[in-house]
Amino acid sequence: MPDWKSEIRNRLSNAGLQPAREHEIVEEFAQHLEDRYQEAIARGAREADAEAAARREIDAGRLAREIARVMADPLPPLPIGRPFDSARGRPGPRHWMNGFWQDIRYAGRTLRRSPGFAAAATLTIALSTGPTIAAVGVANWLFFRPLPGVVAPDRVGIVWFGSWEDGSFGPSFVSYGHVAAIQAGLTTISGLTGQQQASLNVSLDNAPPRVVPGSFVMGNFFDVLGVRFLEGRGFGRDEDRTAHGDIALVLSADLARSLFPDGPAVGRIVRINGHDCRVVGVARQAFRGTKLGRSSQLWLPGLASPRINHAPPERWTYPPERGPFYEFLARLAPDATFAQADAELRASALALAAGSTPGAARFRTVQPFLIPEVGLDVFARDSGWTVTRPLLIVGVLLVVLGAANVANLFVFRGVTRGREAAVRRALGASGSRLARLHLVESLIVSSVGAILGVAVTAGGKAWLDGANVPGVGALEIVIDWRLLAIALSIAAGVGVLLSVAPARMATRTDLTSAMGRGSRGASRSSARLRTGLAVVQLAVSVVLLVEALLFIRTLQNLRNVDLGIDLRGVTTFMFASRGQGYTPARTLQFHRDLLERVGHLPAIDAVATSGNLPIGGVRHGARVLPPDQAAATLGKPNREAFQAALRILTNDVTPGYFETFGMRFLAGRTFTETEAYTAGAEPAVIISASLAQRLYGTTHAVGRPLTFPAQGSLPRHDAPVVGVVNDVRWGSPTDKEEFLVYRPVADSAGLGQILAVRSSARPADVVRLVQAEVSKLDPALPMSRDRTLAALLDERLTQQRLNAWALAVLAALAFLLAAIGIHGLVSQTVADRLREFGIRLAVGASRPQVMRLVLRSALLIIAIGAPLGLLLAGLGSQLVESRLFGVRPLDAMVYAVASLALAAVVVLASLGPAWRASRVDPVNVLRVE
Amino acid sequence: MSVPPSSRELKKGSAELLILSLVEIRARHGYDIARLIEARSHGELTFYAASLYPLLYRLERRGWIEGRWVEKAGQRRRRLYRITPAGRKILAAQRLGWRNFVRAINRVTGQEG
Repeated sequence: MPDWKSEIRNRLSNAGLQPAREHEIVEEFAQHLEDRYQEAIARGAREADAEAAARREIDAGRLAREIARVMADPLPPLPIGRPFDSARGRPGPRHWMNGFWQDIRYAGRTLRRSPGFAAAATLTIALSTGPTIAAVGVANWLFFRPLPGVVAPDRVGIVWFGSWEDGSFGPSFVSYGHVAAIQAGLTTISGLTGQQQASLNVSLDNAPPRVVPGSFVMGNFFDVLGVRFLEGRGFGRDEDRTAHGDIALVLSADLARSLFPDGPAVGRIVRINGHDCRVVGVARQAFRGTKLGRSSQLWLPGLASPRINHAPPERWTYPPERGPFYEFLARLAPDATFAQADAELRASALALAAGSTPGAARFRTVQPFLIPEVGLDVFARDSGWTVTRPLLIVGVLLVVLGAANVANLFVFRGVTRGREAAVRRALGASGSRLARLHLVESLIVSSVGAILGVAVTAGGKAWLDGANVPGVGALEIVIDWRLLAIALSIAAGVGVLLSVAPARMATRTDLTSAMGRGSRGASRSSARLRTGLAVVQLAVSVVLLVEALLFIRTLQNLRNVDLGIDLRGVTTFMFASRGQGYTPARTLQFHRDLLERVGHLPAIDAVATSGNLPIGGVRHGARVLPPDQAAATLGKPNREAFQAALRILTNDVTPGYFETFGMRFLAGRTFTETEAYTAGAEPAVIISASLAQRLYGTTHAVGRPLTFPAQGSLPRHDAPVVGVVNDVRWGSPTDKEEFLVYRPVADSAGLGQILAVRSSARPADVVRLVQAEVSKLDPALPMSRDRTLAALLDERLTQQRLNAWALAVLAALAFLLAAIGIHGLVSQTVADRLREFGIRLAVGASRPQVMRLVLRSALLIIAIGAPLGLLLAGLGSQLVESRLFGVRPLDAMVYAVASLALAAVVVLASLGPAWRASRVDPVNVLRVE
Repeated sequence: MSVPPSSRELKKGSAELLILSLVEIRARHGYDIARLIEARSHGELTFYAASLYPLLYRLERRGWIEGRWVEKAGQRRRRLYRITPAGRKILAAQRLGWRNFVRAINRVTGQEG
């Protein structure tokens, strides 16, 4: 008789069994083969035949692989039933934790065994949480970011001195002495310091001048904030005590490096607005002032501010009640609260007013207001919030979508694992234990997904580049522990939601029905659940798509609005001539010289200077009297005339302005050289068409007098209209066309700091050309903010652009997620009904009929999802109506496109499974099981 | 149209059921189980050791049957398999499922009213 044992041992050598187990298996098989052999012999077979019969027993199949597979069976007798303390036979707290670790290990193993499912689920979570986390990151930056470089920034608040009148805040500059008197004796505030922001012209002997944001500060500024220094120190007591003598200067680390790349900055001289200032310190890298979005690069003593701004020497010192600041920073004393500090500050100011300190009586009305935070100011925060809020809302929708998708995957998996759950229950696992297993599993998936989502967010930072929000500056995403905590709580929330459905299914499954169903067959309730999820997904996608389309239309419309000016080829510059101490006369001369030089450059088509700028400019208001009111108020008190006058906007311009901005004359002409540059010689105004209509009833208004009522120190006066130009929209495309009066630049010399150039050359070349001409006229005069009008318009539309882009990207993501979800759902339906389809085909149904059958189930999703989505979109659009432009919230086209997109997505997503259903081989299907 | 399922196909789906039924009343060793299946099916179904034992090990790992080495006087020691309480539940469920399946097939193919 052959040696079966060694034969079998050889065959099992690859199975990787434990020696003891292998020994048993070898023995069992050997016995079986021997039995077979002996039986054959007993029946009278020859030895060779008996041996062949026995050998046949182990020849079929690959024994080692079969056995190895069995040993890796997916159903090891693992964490089922209650975890017991083996020594004492009862559950204990330590073992509850053991059970939990067991769960985590077990869930990890299960997920590893289905890598496709795990990858799909985590990626979906990552993609859907990523944008939300990004939006939260921006909000984090807006609202929570502590000021870098400042010690305990949450203990620092802003104090404004001023009074509220008619709901608006009127700031009052207060003196050093008064502030010191108010602070003396305060127990709740340990330090009070002032600051005032300013744009400053910075130049070195051998470097081009530039405009840098900086601040005038009180001498104790750096001490109160706890700023540390890279080099040197902050201001000493003496440096902010007198307006005379050397001016000390502190630089930011960035500015110091760029000005003095190869050496220490302390002790060097930098020219600020043309004044020599000595560097006494360089602040640490992180510190950039106390205003987020408006960083400071250099700091000067407050008392130097009149001198730096070219005030005559008699005005270098302040009168006793005034100083350079109305904004102060207060540091709370230990254990004090902002409310206590606010109350104590006000009491102290009132006490000062009651005393005999010279000039302190003003504190009866001028009050300190403590704002319990630093960083973004209230207005910047508001405008930042307007931008972030829609992103957050949409982000939440996307998380819902992603979660629905993954829930779908989990339910699907829960169905296929119904047997496993049933068996576990049969073996004594409690329902809660099974639910816990599902919870752990979905928590793992959602946490890994959320961490990936944070990574997506980090990548998305680039996406935000160039998103400059007016008043806030460039948006940033701050990734810190707070963001991670929020990401993980989103993950936890999603995880819990995900585990609900499968856990319910698992705990409710009863063995008999699960087994009876075999591997096929989702229960009807799970199918309903999954259809419901798909419907929700579709509806949300439709909402997002509709809103995205509405905002894209809005953006298009805004870009195409006729502003009344021609943006193309116009580049604008600002020059800080006031900072350089130019007198009005010198400014005017500078304008003429500059226009002369730039106007003669061959690449330049037209050039002008002006006091203001349409798009991105400010609003200079004034009033004019209509002819009838001019007659009626003649000789009446100034107040009466002023109240009867019409509000208008003004701009002070040079003759080339209208050509540069591509405007049309409806009547008359532009200013002459004399009108433009000789103040008071020949008064003249040019007015906009609608103003001409309003005042004179016609645009042919040349020669008619325009009456300005007395205002301030200016007496009532007339100026003849020399031209009528087309209307413009001033601030942004959404503004209406306004009444405009253009006055000669000579009337407001010193205000005209904007240079506008029309050219077909590249903007960068234009900037270089103009820069060269400016430095020939005054090498120390810096130019700043060279922007094309188109870029200015883009900046104005940042919010609309962000909205449109964010929604478009999210709508695309949403549809992708919905498509995946529906594909999975229909595939599952097909798998469930494979037998039915096989039978139908077998009894004569045609393949297209079967396909139609599958598509019909997809149609059900459209039938519910589409109306629901369109309804929600309609409601949602009403909410954003105020932000739309040129498109109605119920724009038929938009809804038609969205419906088509929805139908297309559903059909495309279910076409594959439908095709598979129609290709079913009836024979194979009926054999399975 | 449809062809009768081959014994191999049927075996695949029903082997668990067969084995559980055979060890339901009394414990049996592997060779015994193989012989019984062959005999009771009049030779229609044959299990070779190479497929039988992996199945037994699988059922054992799932906790539906348990195997134990038993020595009887004058005989070699043998590994006997007996059904567990969990196995009994599974068996009941599978019997029901199988019955439903056969009934469904018959209904479709028209062998039953």
